[in-house]
Amino acid sequence: MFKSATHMVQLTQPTGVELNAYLILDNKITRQEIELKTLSNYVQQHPQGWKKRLEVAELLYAIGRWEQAVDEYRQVLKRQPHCINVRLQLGKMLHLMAREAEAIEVYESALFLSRNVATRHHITGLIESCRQHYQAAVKTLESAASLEPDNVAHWLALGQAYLEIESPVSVQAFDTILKLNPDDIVALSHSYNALMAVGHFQEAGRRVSRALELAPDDVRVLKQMAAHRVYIGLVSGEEGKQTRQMILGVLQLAPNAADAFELFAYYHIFRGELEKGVAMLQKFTEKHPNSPSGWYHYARCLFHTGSYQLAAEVILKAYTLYQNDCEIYRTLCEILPAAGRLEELQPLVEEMLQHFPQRWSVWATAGRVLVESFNDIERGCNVSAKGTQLQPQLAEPWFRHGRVLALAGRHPEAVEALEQGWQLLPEEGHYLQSAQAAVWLGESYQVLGD
Amino acid sequence: MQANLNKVHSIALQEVNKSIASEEQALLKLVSQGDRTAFWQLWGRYQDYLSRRCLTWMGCNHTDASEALSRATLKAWDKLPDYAGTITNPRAWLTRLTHNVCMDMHREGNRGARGIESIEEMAIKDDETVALTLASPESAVLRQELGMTIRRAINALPLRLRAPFILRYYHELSYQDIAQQLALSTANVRKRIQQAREILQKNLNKYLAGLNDLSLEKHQSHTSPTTSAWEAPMTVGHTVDQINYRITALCLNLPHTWYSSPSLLAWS
Repeated sequence: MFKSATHMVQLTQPTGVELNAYLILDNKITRQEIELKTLSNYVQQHPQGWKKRLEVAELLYAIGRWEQAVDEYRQVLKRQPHCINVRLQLGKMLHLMAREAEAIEVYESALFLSRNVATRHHITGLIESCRQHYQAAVKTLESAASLEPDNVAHWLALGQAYLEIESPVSVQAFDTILKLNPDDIVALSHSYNALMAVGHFQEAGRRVSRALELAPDDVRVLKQMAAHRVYIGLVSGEEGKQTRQMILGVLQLAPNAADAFELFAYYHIFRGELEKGVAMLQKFTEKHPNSPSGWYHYARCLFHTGSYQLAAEVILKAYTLYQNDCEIYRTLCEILPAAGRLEELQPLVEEMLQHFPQRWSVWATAGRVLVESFNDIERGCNVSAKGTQLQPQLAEPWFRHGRVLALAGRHPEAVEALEQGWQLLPEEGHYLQSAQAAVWLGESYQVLGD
Repeated sequence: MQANLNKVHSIALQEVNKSIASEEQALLKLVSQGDRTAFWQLWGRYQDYLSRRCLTWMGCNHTDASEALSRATLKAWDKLPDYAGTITNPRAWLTRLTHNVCMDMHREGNRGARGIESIEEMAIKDDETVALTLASPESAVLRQELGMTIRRAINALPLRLRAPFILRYYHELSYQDIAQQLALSTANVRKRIQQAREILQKNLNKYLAGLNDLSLEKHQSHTSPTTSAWEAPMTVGHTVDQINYRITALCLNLPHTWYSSPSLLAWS
């Protein structure tokens, strides 16, 4: 049973860009600097050893000094070339550090060492993920999971790969883990996102509540719970106080997490304290000018509160710092038209499609922007249709495509797409999605005189 | 007349027994001096009897009885030279030794139900059993001795030669694979394996010619392992059959998934 808590560390890339990562640690790290100094001294005195060096590498990894950790892991592998798990750790870190070519090289060496067929499939899936070939990754990870159905690591990796392609099947992967280990916090937490994505809000809420019972100090779970409470409007009265306490708890555990500050900002905004909320995120960006997440969240907040020009400036700062997150691109697509900065947007739309072709939501967003902002109706409709091809079993791409068709004035086709999406809605807990779709359907019916 | 004949017969028997006893004592003496032929002469006298005893003690299971007899042979081979000087009744001594072996096997059988950890291990044990049932105790002993000799020779190789040799001939990896694993050039791997082969060949030639002392009585005790660590399947340290869940769970905290994007405002 997997009950270790998730921790968050801040990573600083060589370019100075700050990112945060979730990692699972068995023990809370205390007196890390002293420990690191002692171990480093030992390693200097015994440079040929590898066990203490591995401890140094793991400590550096746990405290977020990944550049140094990578060097130490490489040193360990020079002395112990057979350690596959060290290779996998190194590969995963390099992948997250956007050093994909190096990650692939490391994974390939691990692949070579492994004689277990399921493990080999798993590693191949990781390589495909590094190449952003997520469909191929899903296939090989499915093979790994079918060969070793009791191995939760395969299902977790599979669920993550499904999330990358915004597939609802991710829910099933996490459900399989929960069948094996009902108290698996990582799976409970991941399935929250997956369930929210398919509109199962109630079940998502139940999962995150269960995770919080099991791990009240788990930063990701606590953040999800706090977000869930803000999302459903528990911001005033006694419930509001509890939500506030939770957010403060998140901030204590992850003082460098921009999304935790965003939560606090929206808590204030939903209480009517708009300026206080916006100021909170502004302050965060002043303190963390190299955090793309900080600028991203600040831009969202400005956009939601109607400061479009400033929001455009801010989201462009996020984009300048980091181009590997499709959410930043998508937010550019929302904010730049509102700010009237279409010339800057056009190349970014193409770039977004090129970088994230596996995500249906990117195609839907690009389709709408092409129709709505650039009046490129034919291409816009074709682009948004691509989203329905990528995830034909999911209601949301059909709704979005239907809306694009309606914006293009193609109401009969729009009705068809919207009705198709309606058929695919889950049986319960889909109120928000269905309300939105009902409005769009109503508009198209009205135009058609139905 | 009959009484006289019986007396003569009795005397003759006593003489024969005396002669046999003195012959056995002579053989024991030779065994204690390390004479292998003497051991087999002595063993051969009781082999059929001990085989029947094994069958009885192992519940008429021919496979187990054969295994027990083989083990008893090895144990006797190992122990007899040490005790030969003090043994007065070799038949009784060998019978007790064989009985103990059978009892040990029964205990192992009881533990075995819990002790066998993998199908592979069971398969290996099955193979060994089959091999032992098919061969005579003598050939089993020789095979065992040869196996041990080879293992010892491999273990005696310097690490720089042993590692590539084991990866090549036991784990059946290609030269290229070995080179990658050990961070060596392929040419270097080939050279090292060739050196290892030459050393092993020299040692085994000596053994087969009877010129060295690589023999069971000096090196094998009943507790000594019959396999080396490198013969275990490549698992921890070489291959990991369980992907680490913690590593899989590692991820960046990137902004959002699509469902919480600001698109709700823009789309409506």
